[in-house]
Amino acid sequence: MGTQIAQLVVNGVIVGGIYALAASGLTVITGVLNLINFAHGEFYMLGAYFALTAATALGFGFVPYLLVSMAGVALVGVLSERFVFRPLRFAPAVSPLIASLGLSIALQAASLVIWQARPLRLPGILEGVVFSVGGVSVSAQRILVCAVAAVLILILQYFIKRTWLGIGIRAMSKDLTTAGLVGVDIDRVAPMCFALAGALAGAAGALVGPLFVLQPTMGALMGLKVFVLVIIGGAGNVTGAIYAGILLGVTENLVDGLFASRYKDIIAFVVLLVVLSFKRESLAGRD
Amino acid sequence: MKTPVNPLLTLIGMAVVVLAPMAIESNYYLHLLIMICIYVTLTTGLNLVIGYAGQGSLCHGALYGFGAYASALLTTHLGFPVYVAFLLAGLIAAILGLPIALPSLRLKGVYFSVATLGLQEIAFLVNVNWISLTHGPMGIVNVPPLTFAGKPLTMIQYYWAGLIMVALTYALVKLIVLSRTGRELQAIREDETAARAMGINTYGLKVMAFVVSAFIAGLAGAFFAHYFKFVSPDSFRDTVSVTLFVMLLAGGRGTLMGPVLGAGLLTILPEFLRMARDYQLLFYGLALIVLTIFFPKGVVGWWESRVSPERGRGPRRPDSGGGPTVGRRSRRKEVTAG
Repeated sequence: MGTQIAQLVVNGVIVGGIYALAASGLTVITGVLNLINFAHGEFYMLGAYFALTAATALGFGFVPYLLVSMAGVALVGVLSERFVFRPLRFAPAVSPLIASLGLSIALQAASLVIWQARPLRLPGILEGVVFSVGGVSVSAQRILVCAVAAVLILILQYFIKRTWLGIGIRAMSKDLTTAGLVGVDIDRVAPMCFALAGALAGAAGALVGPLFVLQPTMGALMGLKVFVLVIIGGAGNVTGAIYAGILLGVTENLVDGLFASRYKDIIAFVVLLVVLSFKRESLAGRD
Repeated sequence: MKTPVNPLLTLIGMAVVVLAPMAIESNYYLHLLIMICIYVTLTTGLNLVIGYAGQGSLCHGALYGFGAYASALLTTHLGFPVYVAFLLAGLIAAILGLPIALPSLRLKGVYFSVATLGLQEIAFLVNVNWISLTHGPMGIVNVPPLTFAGKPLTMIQYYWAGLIMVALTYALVKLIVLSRTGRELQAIREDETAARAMGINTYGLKVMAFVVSAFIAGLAGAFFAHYFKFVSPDSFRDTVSVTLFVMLLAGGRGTLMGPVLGAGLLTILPEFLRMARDYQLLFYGLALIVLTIFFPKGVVGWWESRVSPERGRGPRRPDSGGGPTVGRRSRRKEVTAG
């Protein structure tokens, strides 16, 4: 029992690392630009497919295909900002929400056309290498996923805390108008936020590629879950999103392993409702 | 205020809507008309919440499903007469809508939308996984059809039954919208804080609007169940909620004709793309983006701004909280037009 729980927790932390990676990008967008991007799950899905194409068609190795998919999805993010979200910057909050639902449907349909519905798998590196400590076993692939996620999150933390752009991003998440007054240019920062979020979501997708099967619909549930994480962690709070992600990964795995696996995907939404009912005062101000 | 309508033209128009489909031979076209009736009913009800109260609900598909499952289970498992089950389905959807409305309507703006989307996902997962009640993905088969004088309805009779449902829903919503309650709902949409300051029970009214629209959705769901004679979780997914939202958006939220036009157009248009389903979705997604950016007020709003620029001005949007105040004053008197 003890080993089983330890195993579930370890697996949960690894899935949680992916959640954290995807959510930390989205939280920057939500916090800074105060908008909801339901297409974030599709950014993650595109990341996985870009990696797959780079690996199979071009024969790229792990690091190159990771970089390709990060750059590719960052570009998709910048284009979405320019053509979907920028025209709606001064529209009521529900308009970008609807437009992002449209973007999510369009991206999903486009990848269905390009890559077909048949499930594909990204060949992993380090196949078959498994470490085992005290009955808890972890494949090298999963450790790699977790390590890369951790490195990327550290880079993001450094970027947000130390660089000028990061300071601009944080200033805008505190107060858009004042940040504008002291010279932060929203037309430059907004695309950067989307590029950042796209790159992180793309990395998350590229990293899970070897662990799960790829399908054009894989982003749908992910998009909703990472949004829940953003709300739980607090919009704009990268550290909060990371903790929330790991917590969700562990909880899901524990419920999956110990109780009803069929209800695993409900957890995120139940947590969302509980959090929303308690946190409503602080959240209501940011609509 | 109201455009004068020629009563004779209205009468002729109604006669055409009721009688013309009798000439339609193909069951396919009749089926489309019946689906339009269901969608018009759903969007008209949803309009109370989104268009008038200004709350962007994304769980209407779940409420629609509650009605369908309720009516299907009451008739197949408990042997209720069809029409009794039909009405009960509306009530059950309203009752189940209450625990959704109470916590989520405490939230504002997009947070409400996200919470309802979460509830939509929960409802779907329960429909799929509560196998002893819902039969999971297999669905409930052999739901009895609607009957008239002891015989199951024919296609054209289903269409007429659908028209009756649409007419009753339209009348109910119009009644609410034109009443004091309707104006209070619109006050909430325009500025909730100001509405509360004027003594309006904003929370109570929002819950009321949600429950009424849940009741209507439940009836539409029951109609669906007894028309298809089969219900399964896939008919009440998040995509349905999004589709209904888009229909309302395309037609024009906060207008009485908006849902009718939106549901009609968006039921027919995708049929032209039926051949290529993948491209149909792509088109749908892109249309959604284009609509939001270029036609934020839907077909009705666009038409009004063309016919008379004065009336169409100002954003008729659910939560134009932070928007410019220009055109707000002139809007009060034209929201009931249609």
